[in-house]
Amino acid sequence: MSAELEYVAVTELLGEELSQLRMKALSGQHRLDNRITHPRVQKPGLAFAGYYPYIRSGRVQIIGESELAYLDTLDPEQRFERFDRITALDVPVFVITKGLAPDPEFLRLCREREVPLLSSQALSSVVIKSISYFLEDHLTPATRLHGVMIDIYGIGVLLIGDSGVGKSEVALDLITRGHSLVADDRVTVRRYPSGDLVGFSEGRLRHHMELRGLGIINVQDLFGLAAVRERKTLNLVIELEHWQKGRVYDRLGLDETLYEEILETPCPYIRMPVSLGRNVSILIEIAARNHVLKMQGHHSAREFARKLEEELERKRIAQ
Amino acid sequence: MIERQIEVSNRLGLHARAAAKLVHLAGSFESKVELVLAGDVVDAKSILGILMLGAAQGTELTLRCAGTDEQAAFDAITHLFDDRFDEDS
Repeated sequence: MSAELEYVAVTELLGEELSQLRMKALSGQHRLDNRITHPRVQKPGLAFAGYYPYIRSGRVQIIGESELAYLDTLDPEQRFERFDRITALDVPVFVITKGLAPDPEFLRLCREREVPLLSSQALSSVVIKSISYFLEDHLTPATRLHGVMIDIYGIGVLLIGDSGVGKSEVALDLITRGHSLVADDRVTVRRYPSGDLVGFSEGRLRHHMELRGLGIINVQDLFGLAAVRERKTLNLVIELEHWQKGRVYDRLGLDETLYEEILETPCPYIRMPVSLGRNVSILIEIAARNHVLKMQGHHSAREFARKLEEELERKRIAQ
Repeated sequence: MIERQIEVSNRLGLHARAAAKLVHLAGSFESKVELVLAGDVVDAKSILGILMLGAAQGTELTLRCAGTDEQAAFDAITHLFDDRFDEDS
């Protein structure tokens, strides 16, 4: 499981997710594969004023009314020089907001140098917020895991285990018991700056499951909106495995929680044996409930052990 | 069937971790393994059964093993009690 170096292609800004910004490309249509690698956008005001060092490659540059108003105060030669410099920098894309018309010289240079210049009808504040949010979502370290993710009582549970151990069947059981599917088979997990791991389903697979003997089913169509979720914070990893004779399974639950590393972030982990006659979905539901208790500071196994120890101490026959 | 008295001699008695050790050991034999205390018979392969006994230090229990490997089971479990569950130094 390794983190991938992420980037967003400029063309993705023109996709459905940001359709509310009503953006279109005025130049650089052949360079829409330019890579945005930084989640924070910049406003190139200082660069237009002649100070260039802080224009970082890989960042979206947003031009609004204030930049245009400032450029109007420059004399034409100076303005051209600034345009010449800034379009020669390694900027993946400029976005001009509020449907404002770019300076003809700037547009000409962008076209000549094939620098994408997008025009949005939305206000600068909206453009900045929407693009930042979009980029933060798409530029976090991510990994794809094989498993099923379910939201059980608000606990994000990732079920992993060998193919054929029955992950999808258990997930279906949990859905019929009122829990929600996040992703089946392939789960994309992203690590946010807060340290939270969040699981997603991949676009085309979203809300679908594959069941042997039935094929591909659409969970949302079959069970309704409440049966699916777009994303969920990951709280607990449960590995299902066939019961192995001789293997030691936790009988007490007294020990410290085990952890599974995902994107260098530890996530509580439980190994759950599966065998004929064990209702695994109910066990998983209980594991989720118990996890909630532990997070709230109630540790059932430890409380039980403590009471027993007190009793044994009272009854002890000193030797 | 082998049946004999054994004593809980470790300081903490049959507490949770000791019980887990006993259950794990008993579970490794084919024989039926039981503990008897004041008429209560519990399966030594059931953790809750053992915990229910609440056997503190100094308690006398009856260990009962029955099956193909009863001698081995009896010896191993007696040894675990004698060794005070590897707890007291």
